Amino acid sequence: MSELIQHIINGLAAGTIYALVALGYTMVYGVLKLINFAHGDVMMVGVYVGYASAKQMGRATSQSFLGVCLTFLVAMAACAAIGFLIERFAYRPLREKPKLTALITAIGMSFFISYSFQVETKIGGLTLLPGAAPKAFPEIIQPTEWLVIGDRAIVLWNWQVISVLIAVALMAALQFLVFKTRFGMAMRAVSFDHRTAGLMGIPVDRVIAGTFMLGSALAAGAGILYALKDTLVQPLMGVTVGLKAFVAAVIGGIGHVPGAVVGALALGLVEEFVVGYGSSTWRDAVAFAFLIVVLLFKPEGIFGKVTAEKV
Amino acid sequence: MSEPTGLLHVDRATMQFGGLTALSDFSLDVKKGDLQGLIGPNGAGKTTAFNVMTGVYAPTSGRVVVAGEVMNGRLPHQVNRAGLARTFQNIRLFKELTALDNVKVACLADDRPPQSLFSRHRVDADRREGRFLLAHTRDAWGNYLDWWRTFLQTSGFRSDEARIEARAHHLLGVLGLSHRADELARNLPYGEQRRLEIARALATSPKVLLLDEPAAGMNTREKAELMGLITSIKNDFGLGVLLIEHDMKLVMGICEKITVLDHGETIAVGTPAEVKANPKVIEAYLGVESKELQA
Amino acid sequence: MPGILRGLLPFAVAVPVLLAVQLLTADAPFFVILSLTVGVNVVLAVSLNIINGMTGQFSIGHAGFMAVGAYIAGVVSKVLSEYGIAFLPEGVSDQLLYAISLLVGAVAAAAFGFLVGLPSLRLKGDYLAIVTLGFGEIIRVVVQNTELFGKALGLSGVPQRTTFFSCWLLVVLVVVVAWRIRRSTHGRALLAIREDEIAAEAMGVNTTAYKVRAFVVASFFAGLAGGVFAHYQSIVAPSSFTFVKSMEVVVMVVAGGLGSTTGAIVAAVFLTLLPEALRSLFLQLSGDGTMAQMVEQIRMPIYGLLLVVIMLVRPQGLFGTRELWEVGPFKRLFGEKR
Repeated sequence: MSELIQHIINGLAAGTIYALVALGYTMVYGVLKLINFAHGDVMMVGVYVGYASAKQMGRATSQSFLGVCLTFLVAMAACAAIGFLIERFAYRPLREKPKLTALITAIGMSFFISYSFQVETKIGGLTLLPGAAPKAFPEIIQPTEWLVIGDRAIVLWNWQVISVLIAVALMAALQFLVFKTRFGMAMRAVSFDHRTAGLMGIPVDRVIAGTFMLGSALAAGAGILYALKDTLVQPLMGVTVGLKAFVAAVIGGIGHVPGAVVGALALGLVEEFVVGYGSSTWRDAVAFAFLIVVLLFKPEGIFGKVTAEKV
Repeated sequence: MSEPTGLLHVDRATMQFGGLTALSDFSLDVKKGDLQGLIGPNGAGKTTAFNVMTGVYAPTSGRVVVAGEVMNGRLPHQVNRAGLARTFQNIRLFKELTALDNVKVACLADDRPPQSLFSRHRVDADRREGRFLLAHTRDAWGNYLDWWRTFLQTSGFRSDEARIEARAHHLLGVLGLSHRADELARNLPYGEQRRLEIARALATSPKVLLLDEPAAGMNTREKAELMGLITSIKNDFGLGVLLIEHDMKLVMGICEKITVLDHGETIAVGTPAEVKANPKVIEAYLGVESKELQA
Repeated sequence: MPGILRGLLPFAVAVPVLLAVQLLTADAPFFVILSLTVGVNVVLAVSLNIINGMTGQFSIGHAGFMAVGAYIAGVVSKVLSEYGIAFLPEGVSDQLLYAISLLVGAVAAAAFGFLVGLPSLRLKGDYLAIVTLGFGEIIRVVVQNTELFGKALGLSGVPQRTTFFSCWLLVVLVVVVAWRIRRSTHGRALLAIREDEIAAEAMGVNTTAYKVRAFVVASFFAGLAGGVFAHYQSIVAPSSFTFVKSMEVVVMVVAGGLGSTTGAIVAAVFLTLLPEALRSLFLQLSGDGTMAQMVEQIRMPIYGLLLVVIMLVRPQGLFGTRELWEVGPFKRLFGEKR
């Protein structure tokens, strides 16, 4: 029983992180009908930016409340900028082209980012690209056990709670943004029909750019939380997390914001159970197997809407 | 059960999408040699009716019967095989293929020699008599053999290809497109694209032809020519034809029987004269010059 | 000339040519290995082109089919290597058993192709792409966890049976098959599905069945490629069949032109030879191999960048959807009237 609870805790904690990344995928798909394969890699860049800023601040500063906030904010800002650039120069020119073209571009972008980060590049004393060797993310939040039940039967770590809190806060902020602000309404309009939205006077380009930046910023936050959890960071981390978060978004119904969260939590739990009660070597296959099962029964995802093509 | 009333028989078909009823209690009969019209204001459900008849949508209730076989639940390609062919409101040609290839694709319908064990005739006979598993197996094996004949380029394959080529050329000729055979479909002028769609539909050896606004975008002379062409095709190939058209003069002039839809409901059925005089029809078209109806 | 004999003509020409090349290059192992690598990639690209190019689907897990073929053929081959066919000389017997292993591997791959193609009934475009990706990944994880396949270290000790001749005979086979499919009812049906699936369906094309068949044919050949690969690598490791490998093949098909078999061949050859050439060049230049290593590292980001640039600048790739016989001077060579 206690093992079950531990697994549930771990699964949910992981799930909230996936959720933050999945939200980016689902929002971008909503407005652009594009699977941004590079999303996970933008997250990875954010993690490294966070790494660099934490290192710059030095141990003491980086572990202070201000330091932690700063690390997050810098990473999120950097990712927002990168997201903007990618959308502007790689995706916008292809907006009217067949979706396949944009999908291939996205995959290419993903490879470009993740693999160029594998090539260690130093100019002067400055490390531009980190290289493939895994690095330890600075412990800006010292791991401490907050709740121990029984004889370490159930352990609740501080970073798990903080992680969930931050994730929930970000999601709540997003929810507010999407449903209570004009920008959010514009986003939703563009996701229904971007041509009509444009005709109604909505600055489609800006809305899409904004959506990208928003999703990327969330991913950065998620990435740092993930780095705190796993400690080691390496350039290909974005690929795995990205794929799983993407799977979560599809399971929930791609384009459906709450669906992404539900899908991510479900995936976090399923993964944790498989690894916990089965074997950890099957971890990477779980996400896809889960996906295929869901898609076979409900091709549009749990909350997805069936979009019929007009004949 | 055989339906004696003709090639295409729609029995009170209703199509509901969630809360929206796009088509309600729609019935229609097309016999060999018929030239019928389906009209109605925009959004009346005409194309939905086509989609229901051709199997793109499964009707929420009601039946579609083609050449005596009930079509409910059948996929569009099966409905096509049963004898129903269509063109599309927004031209759906295979853009990157040549005009000839566009027609050749549709010549699938008769590519196996009739005497072979796996011929279309036997498959269709099986299906008609309810031996679905046998039909499916025959079809699958027939196709499997087809692939092998293609890989090995047997003489059977070559003669099939020659036959398809000849037939496609013939159909292009019927629609006056012989000079365009090797032109990419997307390079054809608009009017010729519409005619190509008709040629392609004809290639599937249909019994009933459903034409969705075949004259859209054409000028008066072209329309008249097209209508003459459709009538002669109907007679030469022994088909029944159902037209969706917006041009009132055209429809009234050429169709023997017209069905009028509005908001999914059938508001009138009859000869052009009867329909023109029908007050409900005039009302539905309010906003349109009534003299258009009386032309 | 009766049909089937004319059908076998390309092979009648290819066999002696390939045998000749094999004899001539017997003493140039570097060339042979290189040609095998190129050959395998050509088979992968041409087969993937059937799904992605001709049928217009998006399959990004092709390495998975290759893996199935490699592993199954490898295991079967190892088992069979204990035996020999009594009345045949050893060399011939070996090759025959090799052929059988390849076939078994390819059939297994085709079976998976069937399974992966089935969801195409309900899933379109992006979704189908994700399923193919998922399939590739699942295969890799399954193999990594299975004792029989050697887990993460891979399957070792696969007898080395691949020769230049057998590999390139396979290349000729897949190219001939692809060309013949293209110029037949089936090819036209596949192209129609690519162009407009709804219209194709309305014209009597059983679109789902054809999509599945495209997957089956393509995965069969990918399986053969995998088997050939296994029999010269001798070690079959899961790291050879990652998503990256699948995307490498996608790059080849896209760069060559989606739908063009000729394009796929040209791109596969070029994109396989280029990094090798660069690597040799740098090895010559700097001797200690660091620059050569750099080639390997830079290859991936360049692939990514290449994809992006191609899509932005020339999405139709090199040949677009055209084949060699449709282009200028070659029209008459291949006797145009089709």
